[in-house]
Amino acid sequence: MGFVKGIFNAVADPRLFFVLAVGALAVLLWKREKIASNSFAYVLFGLLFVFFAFGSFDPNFRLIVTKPDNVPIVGLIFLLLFFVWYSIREGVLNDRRIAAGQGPVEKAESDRVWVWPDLVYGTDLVDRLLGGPDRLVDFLKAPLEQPANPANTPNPSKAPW
Amino acid sequence: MADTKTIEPKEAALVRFWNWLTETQAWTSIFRHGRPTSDRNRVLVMLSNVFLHLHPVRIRKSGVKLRYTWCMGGLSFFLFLSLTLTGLLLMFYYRPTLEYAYTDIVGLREHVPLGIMREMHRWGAHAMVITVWLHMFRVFMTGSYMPPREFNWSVGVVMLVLTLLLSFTGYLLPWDQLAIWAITVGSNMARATPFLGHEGPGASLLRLGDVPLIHAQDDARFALLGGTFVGEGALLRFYVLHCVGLPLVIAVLMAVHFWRVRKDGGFRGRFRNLEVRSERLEGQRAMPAFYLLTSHF
Repeated sequence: MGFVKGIFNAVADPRLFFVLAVGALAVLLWKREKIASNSFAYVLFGLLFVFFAFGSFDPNFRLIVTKPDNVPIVGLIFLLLFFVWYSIREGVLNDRRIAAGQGPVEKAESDRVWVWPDLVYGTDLVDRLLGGPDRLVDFLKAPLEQPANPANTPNPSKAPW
Repeated sequence: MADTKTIEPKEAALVRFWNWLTETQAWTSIFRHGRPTSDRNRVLVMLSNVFLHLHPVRIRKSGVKLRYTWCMGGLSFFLFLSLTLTGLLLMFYYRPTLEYAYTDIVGLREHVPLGIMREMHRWGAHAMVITVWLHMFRVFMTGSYMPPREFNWSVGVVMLVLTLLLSFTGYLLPWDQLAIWAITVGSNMARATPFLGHEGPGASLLRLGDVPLIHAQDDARFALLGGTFVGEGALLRFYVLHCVGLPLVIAVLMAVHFWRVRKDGGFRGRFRNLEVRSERLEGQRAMPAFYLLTSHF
C-alpha cells in the first residue's frame, strides 16, 4: 500500500503530472484504433474497479471517497473515462465507415421521425425521470458539519491548492 | 335469407368518459386538436403548445439517438427545473440570518415531513454541474460549436459559469463550517481579480494621484461579500444571488440557448455547417473536433 501511495505522490507533482497528461493525450490519439475496442474498455474499467477495491482497504482512502461531497467527484472519474472512450470510439467507427466508402453513421440515419412521439416520449421522458424527483441518490443525507465558527479554522481535508 | 343481427360492442365506461371529456368546451378550448395519432395532429400538437413549439415537427432520426446527444443538455434543463422547485420549497423554511440559517437547515432535516428536499437540491446541484460539463464535452467532440453556432456555444459557456456560481453561492447557505471556510477560500481568489481585486494585476494602476481607487474595502471581493470577511452581509448577498439574481439570468439565457439551437439548424445542422466551414471537412467526419485533433497523427 505504501508503495502505491508513493507512486501517486510522485505522479501528483504538477510538473510531472502535466508532462504525463500531455503524453497520455498523444498516446490516446496515436493508438486510437486499439483504444476504441470494447476489450480495451473492459480492461480499463476492470483496472479502475480493482484500484477502488484495493484502495478501500485503506481507511483514509475510504474516508475520502465516501465523503458525501466527494461521491460525485468519484462518479465523475468513471463518467469522464467512459465518455472520453466513447467519443474516441464513435470517431474511429466513423473513420472506418468513411474509409469503406460509407458516410458517417449519423448521415446514414437521415430519415426523419416525428418529434411527437419519438423525441417527446423517447428523450424528454428519460430526462424527466432521471432529472426529476426519482433520483434514488436523494436518500443519501446531504452533508452538514458543525455550525460556522470564524474563530475555528478546520484542518483542510483537501490539498491547500 | 335470415336477418343477421349486428351487435355493437359496448364501449367501456372509461372510454365513454374520455370521449365525453374530450368533447367538452373546457377541453377543446385548451387543446385545439385531437390526440396526436394522425400526422395532422402530430403537427398541430407541436405548433399549438407553448412548451413544445421550440421543437421542430420532424427531426432527423439520429437526433433522437442517445449515442449522438447523450441526453445531457436535456438532463441539465430538467435538473434545473427540479432544483428550482426544490429551491422554492426550501425557501419556505430557510431564513438567511446568522441566528437562524444553521438551525433552519437542521430543522429541515429533523422536523420537516419527507425532509429530503435539501438532499434533492444538493445532489441535483452536483448532478447538474456534471451534466452541463458532459453536454459541453459532447458539443466539443461533435464539433457542434462550429459556425453558425459560435454564439450559442458562447451562451453555453456563460451558462456553465453561472451554473458554477449557483453552486458556489448555494454552498454558503447552510452556514456550517464547510460553508464558511469554503467560501472564505473561494472568495479570497476575488482579491486577485485583474484591475478590480486589490491584489490583482493592474489594480495599482487605478489611482487618483496618490489615492488608490481599488483597495480591500471596495474591490471585487468586498462587492461579493458585502464586507471584508464572510459574515451576515455575505450570507444575504449569496442568498439573493442564489435564489433570484443568478436563476433569472440563467433562465433568460436558457430561452436564448434553446431558441438558437432551433434557429441554428437543430440537430441536423452539423453536416451543413461543415460544408460552410471547409470543403476538406465536408461531410467527412462525424466528430470534427476529434478529426482536427487526430489529423496530425
